[in-house]
Amino acid sequence: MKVIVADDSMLTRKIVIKYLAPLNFEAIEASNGSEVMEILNKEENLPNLILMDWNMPEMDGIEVLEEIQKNARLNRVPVIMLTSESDELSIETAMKAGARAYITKPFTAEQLVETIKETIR
Amino acid sequence: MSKILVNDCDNPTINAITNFMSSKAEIINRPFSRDLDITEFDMVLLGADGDRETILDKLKHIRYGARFRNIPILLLNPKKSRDQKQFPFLTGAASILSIEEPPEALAQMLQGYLMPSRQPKKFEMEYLTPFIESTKQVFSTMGSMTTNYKGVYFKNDYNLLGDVSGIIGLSGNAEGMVVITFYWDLAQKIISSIMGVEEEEISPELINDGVGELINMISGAAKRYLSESPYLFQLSLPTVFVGWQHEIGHPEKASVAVLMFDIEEKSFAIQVSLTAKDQQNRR
Repeated sequence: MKVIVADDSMLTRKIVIKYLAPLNFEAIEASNGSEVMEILNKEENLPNLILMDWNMPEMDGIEVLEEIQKNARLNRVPVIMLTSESDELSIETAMKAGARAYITKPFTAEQLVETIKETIR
Repeated sequence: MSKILVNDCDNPTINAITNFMSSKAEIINRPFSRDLDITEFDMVLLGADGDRETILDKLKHIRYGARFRNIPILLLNPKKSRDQKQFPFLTGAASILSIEEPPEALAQMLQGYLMPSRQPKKFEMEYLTPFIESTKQVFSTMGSMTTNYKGVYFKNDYNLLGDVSGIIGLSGNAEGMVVITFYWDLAQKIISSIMGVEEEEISPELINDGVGELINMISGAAKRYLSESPYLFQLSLPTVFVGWQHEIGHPEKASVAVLMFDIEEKSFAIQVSLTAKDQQNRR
């Protein structure tokens, strides 16, 4: 299983990868939305999951979601938003843009793993 | 009665200060010490008769001893100096005063610095309480750390008080800025606790990044509490400053609330300046 971990914070990427260790995922790190699109367009074997922040430089998480939804090859890859944007309107916006699940920061390992298991079931 | 700590001042200066202030404050004269906790004092007066590097080093340690509390640190010069105005800003001191000032003027200035900070108004607690709660939540969830809120005071500038500070701009229905500021050792301890590794394994780069992410998480969690209020805001990307000789701009007339916290006897602060667009009607 392969997962893209996209967040402009190195700390959050490291925490997520640490929390994912029991799932034996191969993690690919991205620090902004443009890097996520580069990885998706380059990889022959698409990742099984994308864990993505909202507020990132260059291209934010919602813009990436919109690009993914427009692309028939990419829109099968489930995206879980992992973000500080915690209000109801933000959650609704991301789910409408195509996110499969939404986790707000701060988050626990249990929350992350449970949400991933439900999403890729 | 207020307590003033006088550090490294000569006898004529101490006598003059005692004459001006003895009816208003208890004057305690002690030589400078690097590890002094000064939180029992209401003001510190440091003799500024020395080379700049030595004074800077002393100010740094007094600042650590102040633990982000509202304790003005004033430099006292035996004579009027030509760089009197620039020096305090560069050093983090509140001001530099000269013992050659007219006694009444000097006494008035000192009394001004002893004025207690005002209490927060009801509308200010509406937006400050979510930041207090979200701060506790972030440290508890991410680092299993208990955060104790120690109180709030107000200031009119945005001097960064710590060694490393994360800043996030807020815009939308409410506009402003939130800053988290740490002394380096606590920042290192927190990031190592979040990562679950030894402090020595944490790089300065990860600490800087982590401080930015902490203020991002705190502001985001506060946003949820404020979503039904006039203080709903949009988050910008965080910026991190390393070093304490920085002052950043903030909206004119907006006061800056300093929320003080302790984690295991070590202190940090969150500075919040937030103005709702309809705030004029709410005062």
